Amino acid sequence: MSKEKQKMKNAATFMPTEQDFYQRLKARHQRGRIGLAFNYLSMAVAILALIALFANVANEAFGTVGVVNTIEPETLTDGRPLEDLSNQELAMILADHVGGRLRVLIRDTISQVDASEFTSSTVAQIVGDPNVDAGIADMLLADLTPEQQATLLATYATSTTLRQLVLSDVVEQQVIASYTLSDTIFRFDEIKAEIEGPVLEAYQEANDLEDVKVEVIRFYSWLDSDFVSTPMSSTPALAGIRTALIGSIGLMIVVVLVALPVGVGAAIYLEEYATDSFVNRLIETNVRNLAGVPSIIYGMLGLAIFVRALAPFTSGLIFHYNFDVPTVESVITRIAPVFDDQITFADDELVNNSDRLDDETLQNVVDTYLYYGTPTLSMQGNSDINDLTNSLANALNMTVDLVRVRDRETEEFDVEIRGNYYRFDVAEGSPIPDEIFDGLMAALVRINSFAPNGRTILSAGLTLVLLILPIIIINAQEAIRAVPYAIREASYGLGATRWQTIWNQVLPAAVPGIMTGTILSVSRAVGETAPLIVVGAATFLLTDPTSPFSQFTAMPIQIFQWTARPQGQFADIAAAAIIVLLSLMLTLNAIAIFLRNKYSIRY
Amino acid sequence: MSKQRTPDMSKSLVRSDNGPIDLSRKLKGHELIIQTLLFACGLLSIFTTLGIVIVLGNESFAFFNRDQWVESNRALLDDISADSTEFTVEPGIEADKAPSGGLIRIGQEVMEIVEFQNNTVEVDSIGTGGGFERWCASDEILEADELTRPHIANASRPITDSELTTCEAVGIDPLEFRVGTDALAIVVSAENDFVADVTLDELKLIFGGAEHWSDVRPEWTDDPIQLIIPGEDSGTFDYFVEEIFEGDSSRLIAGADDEFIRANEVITSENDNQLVGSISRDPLSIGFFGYAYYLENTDDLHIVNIEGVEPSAATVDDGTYPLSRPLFIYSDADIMGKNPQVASFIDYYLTHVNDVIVEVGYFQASEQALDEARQTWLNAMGASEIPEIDPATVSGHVESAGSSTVLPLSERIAEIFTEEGFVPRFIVERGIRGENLVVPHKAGITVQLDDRPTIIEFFTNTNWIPAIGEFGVIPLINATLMTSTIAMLVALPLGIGAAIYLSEYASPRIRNTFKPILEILAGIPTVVYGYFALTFMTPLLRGIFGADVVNIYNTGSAGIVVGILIIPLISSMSEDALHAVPVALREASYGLGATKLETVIKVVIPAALSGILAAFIVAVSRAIGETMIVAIAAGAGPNFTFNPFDSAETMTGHIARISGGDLSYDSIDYNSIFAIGLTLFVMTFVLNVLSRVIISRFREAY
Repeated sequence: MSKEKQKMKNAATFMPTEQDFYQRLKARHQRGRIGLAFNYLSMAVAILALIALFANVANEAFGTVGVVNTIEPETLTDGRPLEDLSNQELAMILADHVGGRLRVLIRDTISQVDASEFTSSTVAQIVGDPNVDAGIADMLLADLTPEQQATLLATYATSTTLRQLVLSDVVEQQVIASYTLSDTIFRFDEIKAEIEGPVLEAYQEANDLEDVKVEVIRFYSWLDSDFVSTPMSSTPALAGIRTALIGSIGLMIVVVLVALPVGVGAAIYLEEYATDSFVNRLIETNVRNLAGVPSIIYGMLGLAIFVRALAPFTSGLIFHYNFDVPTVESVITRIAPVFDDQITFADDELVNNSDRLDDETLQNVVDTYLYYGTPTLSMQGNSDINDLTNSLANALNMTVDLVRVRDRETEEFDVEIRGNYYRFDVAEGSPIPDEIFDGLMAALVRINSFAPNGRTILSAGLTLVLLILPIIIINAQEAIRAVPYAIREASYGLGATRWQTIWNQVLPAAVPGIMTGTILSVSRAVGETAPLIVVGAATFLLTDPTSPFSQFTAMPIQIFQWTARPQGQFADIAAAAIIVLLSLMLTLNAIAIFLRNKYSIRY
Repeated sequence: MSKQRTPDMSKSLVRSDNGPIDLSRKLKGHELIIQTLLFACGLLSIFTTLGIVIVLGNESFAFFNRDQWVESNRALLDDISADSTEFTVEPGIEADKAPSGGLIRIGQEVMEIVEFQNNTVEVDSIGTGGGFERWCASDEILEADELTRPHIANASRPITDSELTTCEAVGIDPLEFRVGTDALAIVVSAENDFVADVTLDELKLIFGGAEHWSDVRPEWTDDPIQLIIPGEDSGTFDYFVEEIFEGDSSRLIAGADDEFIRANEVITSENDNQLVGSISRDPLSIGFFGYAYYLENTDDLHIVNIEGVEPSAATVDDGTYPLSRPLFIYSDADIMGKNPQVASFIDYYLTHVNDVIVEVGYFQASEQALDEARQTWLNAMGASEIPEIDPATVSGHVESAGSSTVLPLSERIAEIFTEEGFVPRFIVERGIRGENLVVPHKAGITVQLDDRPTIIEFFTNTNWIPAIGEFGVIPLINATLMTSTIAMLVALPLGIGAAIYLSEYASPRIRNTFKPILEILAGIPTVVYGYFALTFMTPLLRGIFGADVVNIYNTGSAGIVVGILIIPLISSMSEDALHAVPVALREASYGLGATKLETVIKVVIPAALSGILAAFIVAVSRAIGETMIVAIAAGAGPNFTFNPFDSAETMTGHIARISGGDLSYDSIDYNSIFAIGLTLFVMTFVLNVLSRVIISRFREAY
């Protein structure tokens, strides 16, 4: 009733009373402030999210770790610190403790010859020094005594290298506990006690060890120079991102080389040539729509087209890359990096046999080197059957599919290799028993020619090209559109043809804009994960990609892999990898901003 | 697209003493090539779209049409049997036998080979009498001897009255089917060079007590006669006794006075092959058995003419050969009724017996006799016409026992019957529901499935469990909508709030500071957001709501982080739209006394609504297509749930997980992710087109 009255009153007077007006004005301003507060809040949430994201990554990438040594350095050196030892002494420690792996160390550190020629090279060739001790210069490395090999190592390797080798191969540091940065800052004493108490005890119990000393390292950084320069490992503390970094750079190169000319070409066409025809409108609309297609769809397109349909091209088969003559040597060379042991270096004439492989020869090789040659063959790190098959598949450049079927309780699974099925009674994640390993190798031996495997850098790169092409086109169009029409007219006025005008006038003026757009797109491509997963990036790869036809992994893939693993330390190295990835992208963005500011021309 | 066209002036500008040089042709050619190349670059985008549609469509088609999977794995199936090249999966027949081992794969389905023969026929040789005895044995006896009652009794003589009585006692009413005629062959070893012809009377002497060959015919050798004959249980024995000794078997075995001695000199066996062997090794022996066995062993044996007549089709048929006899199979109407495979087998027997009987070594029964047999079949089955039997459609076991004479004939028929009914049967372990059988034929493989996933099922089934062939995309779509909805609930207010702030409130300096921050947020790889969701947002949610409420993997956490991811997208697009609203509108509003908020809400936002709506739709599309965050944080395993704290796999997450694992091409999993991909593509495509339509159709132009 009072409302009715109010209305009538308002209608009668038309204007509110002064008192009413000020009251309502106050309320309106109040609402305005609330609205503004919400707007502030929105911005704040966005900024907070960004801060939280970076803080979270930093929190995981740095922190406190507890480290134990398998062999205490003091016991090796009678209490002297490692730094005081001479090269010869360090090399002898290595010789005493690593056994046959000494030759692997020589290959990885001082060898001057290609890994595939290593076993057949003389000592003089390996060290690349004709003045080496005449007595051993023409001998094969395998014929030297361990002492002679150690001397060789001591002579040609630096003391820093040797110390690192001793630490990594003899002392074998292991991280048994890791804590985040926030824990390190706020409750360091607590976690120190925890590491030295229950964590160490649990470790000793689990490994049946006594009297192990634990070293607590405060502000340990999972991100260090080693992390960037070492390849994958299934032990978090030893894992690095080199392979993935090289893979990502390889992808970038493919993307830039293909996407830039095609994208700019399309943009020039749409801006400078296209008339208002149906086809051109379709292209224009289509480019805009493609920009909105989820990236995983591009991955599926790449899988069907580049990985499968064009496999002979993307695997390098038609260029005879990797596929010319599979020889004993090439197979061994490719398999060898998967293993710790000296497969490459067993002394047998088979290794020098460069005849084309047939089943029988390969069987012999495997018998000789893998069955009997190294009875205690171990994988690098604590790999499980998945890692093993993945590595071997990558090494042999073929597809090995692990298909787990059947019994869910016993977790039996099949290994499928080109249509042959092999069943093993082993649970995923457990160490590989010898007989399983033999079976797997026998299965691999069945393959006497290598199938083209299109899961290469080239395939993935081309997939990313399709993904970012619409963005490049749209950016380049805008850059070209920004060039004033007067410049074109001046060029035409001087008698230039249309292409001359574009090439000599429009493009140079548009280059900063095009470059900025391209770099931003490439930086997006570097961060893309989903299409690479679908295209089939390798998840465990030890060898660096060397060509567009190499198997590859990329940084986002590694981050995804490590994030998906349950062990806490993988989250730490994932954070470290994120920092590397973000640094790479920020660098790219900085370059783009620099280019934009420095070269952009204002008309 | 440039609207203005510029005249090409090059022709008229360039001149020389010899008049104008016409550069235009060369330049035009040049231009044309360049323009074509650039056009090709532009066309690539069309090809990309076409490629997406074709690839997704093609593989999805394969998913809904699974014949192709088997086609591509033909080599695998070929390994099973060298002679069989075509396999047809036939639904609905249950495999009832224990596995016989072996595995094949069709795509990713594992099939276990259960049984190669669809039907089996067992033929036992226990003699005609033995056959009737077992056929008509009482259940107790069969049970005690752990035997089963044969469906068919093979006989080389008609059933006797006493046997008939036994049979009637257990309720069996024997039906007689005449299948052919056998001739008894009197044979001697191939090394025997004196016996070539005997009379019936001489046969009585030889088998009835004569000790030496010279006792029968003086010119023959003085050596003793060695009789090698089928055992008393065999129909051959009965028949011989019937023909030669008028049914008195004692005269054969104990024709001589001294029963004991005589019996010792007779070698008997139920096994005709043993008889053949014994006779062929002993030149002084003589014996008899079915003509078929002689035919198989003409090198080792000599047949003896009787009364100067040699057995042949003609002599048997016209009855001049005295030792010929009919061959029968017996069954019972009840047995045939209960076991259709038996009726089918007998039908098949009667239809095809004349095709093989000569080959086996017997003689065709007269057409009249066969007609009678067929009539018996019709009467028994109550049918009016003998159906044509395709053994491949007959499944089951037929057991027959009895005469060793009928054995080769029955075996031959059974062989053809089972061969034509050759049906390798597979049990599908995963991927295909129900029973799917693979049947070989002459060329190629076709798989016919009664339960391939239909499009309707794909969109209505609420389970996605490939292991048992459940392919319903709803749980995946549901999870996608869950994360997208949560994301939009987070991103829409915050994104628009940020846009309003940047567009309406912020000073240029602040805007220049904050816009790049939003751009950085937009530029961070989604895998990093995924990491953020799993290691920050999930623990945060678990801290707030309790770890027992919030799953480690949950759609809520993933959705919130997807929301954070798309805040910059919404704010940037909305800000553009707000910015495009002319200042005059705002000034008019202020002029009317509106506050800033009122101006924004009542004037600016309505004016920019089409742009904001478009931003909203693009953001939804982005949220639906987002992969890494949900793949990392939302959980693996399709789960139909509306609880944001439960784990559930989205469409994109499922595609990433399946393709990131160990995916074999042409498997059902491979095909299925393309079907999901197509669904995803259509959803996002429609949203994108919608947003463009909204922008162009509803834009307020000022």
